[in-house]
Amino acid sequence: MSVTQVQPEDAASAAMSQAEIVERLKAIHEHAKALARSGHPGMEPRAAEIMALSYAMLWSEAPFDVVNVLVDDE
Amino acid sequence: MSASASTSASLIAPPRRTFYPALEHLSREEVRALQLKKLRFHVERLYRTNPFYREKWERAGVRPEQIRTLADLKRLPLTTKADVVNDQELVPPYGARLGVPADRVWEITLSSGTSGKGQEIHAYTLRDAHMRGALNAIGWAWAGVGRRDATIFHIGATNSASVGCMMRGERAAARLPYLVGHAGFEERLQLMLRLGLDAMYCMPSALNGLSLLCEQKGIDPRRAWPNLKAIMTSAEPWPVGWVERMEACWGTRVYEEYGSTQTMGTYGMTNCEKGAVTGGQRGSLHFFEWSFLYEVVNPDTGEDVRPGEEGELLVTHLDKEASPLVRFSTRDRMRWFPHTECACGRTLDFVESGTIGRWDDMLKIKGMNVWPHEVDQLVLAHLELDEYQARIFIGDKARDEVELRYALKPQAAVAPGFDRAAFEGTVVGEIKAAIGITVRAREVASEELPHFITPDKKSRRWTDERQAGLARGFSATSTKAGRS
Repeated sequence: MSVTQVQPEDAASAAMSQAEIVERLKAIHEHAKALARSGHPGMEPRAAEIMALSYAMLWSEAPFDVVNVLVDDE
Repeated sequence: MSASASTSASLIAPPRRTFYPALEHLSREEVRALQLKKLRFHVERLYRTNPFYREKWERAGVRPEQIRTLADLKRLPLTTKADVVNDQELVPPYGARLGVPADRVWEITLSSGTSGKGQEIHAYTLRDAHMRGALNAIGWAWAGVGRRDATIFHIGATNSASVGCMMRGERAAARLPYLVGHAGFEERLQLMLRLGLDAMYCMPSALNGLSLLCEQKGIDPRRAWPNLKAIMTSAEPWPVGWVERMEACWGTRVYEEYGSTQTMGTYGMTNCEKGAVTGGQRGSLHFFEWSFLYEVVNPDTGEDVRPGEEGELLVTHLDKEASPLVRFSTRDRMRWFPHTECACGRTLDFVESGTIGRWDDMLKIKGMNVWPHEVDQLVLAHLELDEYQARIFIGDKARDEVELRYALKPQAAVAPGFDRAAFEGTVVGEIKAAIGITVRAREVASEELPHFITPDKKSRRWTDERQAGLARGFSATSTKAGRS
């Protein structure tokens, strides 16, 4: 099933496989997590938001993989 | 403009749309496996980290290791609104139910309606907040709305669940949620004409009012917004004929969603492509079962209802970090069906569109939860007042209105210096402050009102005439003719 059914004009994203989407999302999530703990006061809140957003994206793309991902310092 | 002269958009359903393919194409067995994996993890985590649920489950004699199947969910006790409110009073402001460090609370929502003691506070971590958007977006996508579509919502900005989930959800699926809910209907129309729109959310009574205003101003919505793809609605029941009239008037399909502060502050079920009505039949509100475990049960026995039967919705969160709920008793009444009963092919069970009501006497007025007995306490506290009756109806502007007819005690009515206007203003002001609704008060003779003076006579001071009002249509002529 293509990810572009809702917006068929986005042909570029149709070329990306599900596996590649998940791989990239996991990388974004890990990078965001590192930045959210970087000690940079201007970076941490926005990186935390990217972390949360990438989680919400993984929730739909790799639903079984993120069941045990917790709030960051629990 | 004559709505009846046009054709309803809902005669034929469009083909199935998908927004999250990996999730939406799980088989029924996979959905149930995902739910079980989440439930077991969630229960174990809450037992370890959430004092509210640990204590509740210990009192019930249930331990996490006893939750091995989805059927074991019923071993866990219900959570009620009273439980939530009591917990907040004991451990203010969020209650022991918060379950995460307080500095992880990124946003909150308050349940609508009565301020103060009865108002629930629900906290969200940053992750919870983005999940609200991810879930809300699904309804827009299934309704055919895409990322280049300007999508707005007719809801005023408050701390209720609506604004946060709409702003994030519309941006996750579409774009440009410019604000209109704060404005009067005239100003909203001007903004809509000036900026354009491709989809909008509007509660049924507000849509009715907007339609009437268009008619009065000679605006044909089909010409003014020719690209309108969907109108989303929720929170109030409606007759099938009303949806068909709105679709004919606006030239697009009407969809329904269901959500509340208790469904993670976002939508927890939504219509498939069939919309609110297709071919004269009510649509399907499909459960977002990847994030919630819903039970629709007989409120007396607690047993699951059979297909086509009405029951109470119980909600268990499967993804929420802060302020989670397990088996929350919503008191919402709905008619349940298994996924196989809908032709769309989704593996998600559903309830019937447009018929969600209440098992208690709570009323939803202009999006606010109103419990009549709380208004009783407020109004009857005035010793000058003998009795009152309130009716909710579709008024001249085709929107919800509340009329409060009251009678004074004979001695108060003739007391020297008694200021009727000031008295009425005080009562109206107190109601507005308590429930957020402006009522129109009118004094009548005591004999015109029923009196509830014996304990065996259950007081029924509120009547809801909106269904009849929506069934009549939205034109100025029909609403005036329908007034009593």
